[in-house]
Amino acid sequence: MPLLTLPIAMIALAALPALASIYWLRNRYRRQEVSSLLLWGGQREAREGGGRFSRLQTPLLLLLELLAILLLAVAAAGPRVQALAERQSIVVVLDGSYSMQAEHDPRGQAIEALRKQLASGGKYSAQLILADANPHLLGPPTTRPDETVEQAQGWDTHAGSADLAGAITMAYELGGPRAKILVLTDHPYPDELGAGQLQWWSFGEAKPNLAITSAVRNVAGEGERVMVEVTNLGTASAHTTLTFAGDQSRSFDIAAAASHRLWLDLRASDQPFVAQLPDDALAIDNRAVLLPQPRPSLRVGVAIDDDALQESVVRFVEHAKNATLVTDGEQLLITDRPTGVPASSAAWVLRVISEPQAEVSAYIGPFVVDRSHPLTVGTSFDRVIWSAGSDDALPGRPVVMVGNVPLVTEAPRALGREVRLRVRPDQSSLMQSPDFPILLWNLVDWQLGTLPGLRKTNYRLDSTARLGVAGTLEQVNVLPEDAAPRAVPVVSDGVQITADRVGLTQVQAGERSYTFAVNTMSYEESDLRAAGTSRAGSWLDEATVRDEYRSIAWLLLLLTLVLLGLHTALISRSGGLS
Amino acid sequence: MDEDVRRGLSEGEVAGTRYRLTAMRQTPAGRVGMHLGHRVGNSIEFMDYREYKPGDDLRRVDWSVYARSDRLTVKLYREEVSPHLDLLVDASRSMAVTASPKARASAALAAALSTAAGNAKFTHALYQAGDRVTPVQGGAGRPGGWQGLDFAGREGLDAALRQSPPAWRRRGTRVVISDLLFETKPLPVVQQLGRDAAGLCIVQLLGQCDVTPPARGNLRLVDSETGQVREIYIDAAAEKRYLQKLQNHHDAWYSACRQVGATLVQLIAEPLLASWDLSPLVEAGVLQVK
Repeated sequence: MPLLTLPIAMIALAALPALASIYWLRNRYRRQEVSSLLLWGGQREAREGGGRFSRLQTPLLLLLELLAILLLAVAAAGPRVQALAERQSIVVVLDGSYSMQAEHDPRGQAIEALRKQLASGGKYSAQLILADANPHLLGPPTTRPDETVEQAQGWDTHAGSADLAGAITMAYELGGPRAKILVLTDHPYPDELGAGQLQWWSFGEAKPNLAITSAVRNVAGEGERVMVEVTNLGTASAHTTLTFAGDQSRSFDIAAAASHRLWLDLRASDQPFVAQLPDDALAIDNRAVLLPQPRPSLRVGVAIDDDALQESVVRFVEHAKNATLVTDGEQLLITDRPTGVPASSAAWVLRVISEPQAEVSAYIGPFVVDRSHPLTVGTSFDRVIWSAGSDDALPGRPVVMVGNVPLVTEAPRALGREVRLRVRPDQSSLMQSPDFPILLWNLVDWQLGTLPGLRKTNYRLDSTARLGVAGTLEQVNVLPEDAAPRAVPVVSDGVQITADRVGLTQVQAGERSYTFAVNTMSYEESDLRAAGTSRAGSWLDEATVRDEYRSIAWLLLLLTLVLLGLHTALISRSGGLS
Repeated sequence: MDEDVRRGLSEGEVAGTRYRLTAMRQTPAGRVGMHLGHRVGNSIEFMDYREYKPGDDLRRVDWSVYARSDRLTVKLYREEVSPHLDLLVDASRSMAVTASPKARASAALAAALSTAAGNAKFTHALYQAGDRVTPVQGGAGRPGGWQGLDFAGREGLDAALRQSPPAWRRRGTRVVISDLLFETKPLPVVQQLGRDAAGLCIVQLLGQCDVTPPARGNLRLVDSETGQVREIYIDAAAEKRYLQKLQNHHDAWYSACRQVGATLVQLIAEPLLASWDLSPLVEAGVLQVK
């Protein structure tokens, strides 16, 4: 398709109506009543003047002059056509967020616009990148519009967010410096976008939308408590009705841009809790499904000779909701004895090492803490007096150190794991500080996380669900409600599953099956107020025009000369009439 | 009747008081008694002798001449005539063309002629030639009393004459007022007009728009009678051709009139109404200044 490098020159086209007006005014027929046409007969056959000869000539000459002006104006505008060169590399970034599911179908509009764009251009090679939480290619490069559109049909719009910036970076890397990048989304480009590699087409519509932006289901005593937050993402207050638990409902008003929280006390149940809003501009965020939270509890055995230490540990276990004090069949043994757990046991061990007085030093810091380790979450060890041996040799991976002296280490055992805590309880303030129960809680939580099953059952879209897997399973099967099943490999007794489909997702791990719920709950994606339709940017930067387009002004000037020659010939033939 | 036409009648009546209609070249005929004609008649005024021919009134034989010469000779006397003017006004639409006072001038001229006829003791009758030739109501009286003179005919004068030939007075004087801008052969028309007339005068009354071509440029000409349209480009050549055609047209009518012994006078409406100079009619022997 030709482009104009100096489109302002098209202002010369104003000469077209001016010329036509001159002709019209000149050739306009004045009406005059005469007594009789008797004396006007025979004028038609006149060779010079007075006949229709000049009238018949006028349109042709006018047409030639109009064409000449048109060609000159277009030539002055610097017309260029795409040179027949190699295939143009086009990388299309597709917004995979769920706001593209709005009722006016921005996804469908974007695909149609893409089809038209590709069909109207020259040869190309297109790659499609789906911009969801983790941008990725949709398929191999395509070179025909029907192929590209067919691949674009796989454009999935279920993501809780779209990493457009990451996808565009990926597009630049894929396409290189001469690639043309087209972003198809529902939100307009926030700033001015000039000529360059990037074009940004948005197909959204700014509409009010009511959405469930938060939902929580917790244990409350013998029953359960559910919180559902509904947000009015519109510019005017709205009235709505939330239907839940099958047959119950609550109606309420929400001011513009405000949220309304419903707290519901329910009887304990294993069934999913479903909350539903009426249909509006975006349907996917009108529904929330909540499963009951699991209540795991770790069996903890205590074999401690130091009375003070034992008292601290037992007090912790008795108060921790996720731990149960047992005397047999423990999953975690807390002890200050050098032995006590057979190697064949899968139990974890927290071994408190209390070294002889002669080897002990009292440390007040600074303590070097591995903050990436699950044991250290929430700990500070601030103002803690930590008495321990000064030997720098302690088996296992250091977790807390003072200088080069390891104070806490952890290492796998044959079937379990052993954490070593080096401390003299009688000379340390660690047991009296908040860090000690935190350390114990982290240990219990860490071990619970490695046990088979789900730690949580309700997730936000695009968050990661962790499933503990026992045994030697290599992969689990993930079966979302409305998507194809997929296999996810097991990595170190656990599976990381991206919660990428709204609704219930079943996970088949060997013989056992688990289910978790996924809800949108993304304020940004549900907010359609800033959506809009626009096209920003242009691929026709100076370098592109120079390299890929050839000027055809010379051809137009040549045609103009031909027309003017023909014009002159016609005038000559008609004896100077115009 | 149009107010403009009625105003023309008043103007013409006033203008006509200064003139008297004359007998034309041919001997006028009319009712016996009031004027001496050029022909032989039954008046008491002696005119000539001639040899008796069978059929002559024996009462006219001059027996004294017969006694002297033994030849039957009859005495000829001038005839006495009562002259009459038949006025025919072309009432076609071409006489009422837009932006031309031809209609008013036609009515005024007819009024002037009728007044001049009255001054010369002529009786008169007025006819209008629209789609048909019909007598104008009150046309024998003073112009102020004429009724129904309108210029709405869609046919030319020749067609109206063919359609309904008027019952004109034999041997009367006839004056026809028309622009003559219709397509026909002039001679048969003039012959029909002059048949049994003592004298015939055709006044070609044109407008300034008829004798002067329109301004140069493209024109969409509309025929006032037929509504026909013709688009032409006027330039010097076209102007020249038009004027030549007008002259040829006039010449054709003039030639026809000469053949029949009629008089053709051309008048232009605008100067006529402005100055009431009827000298062309005087020069043609149609009118006499009182």
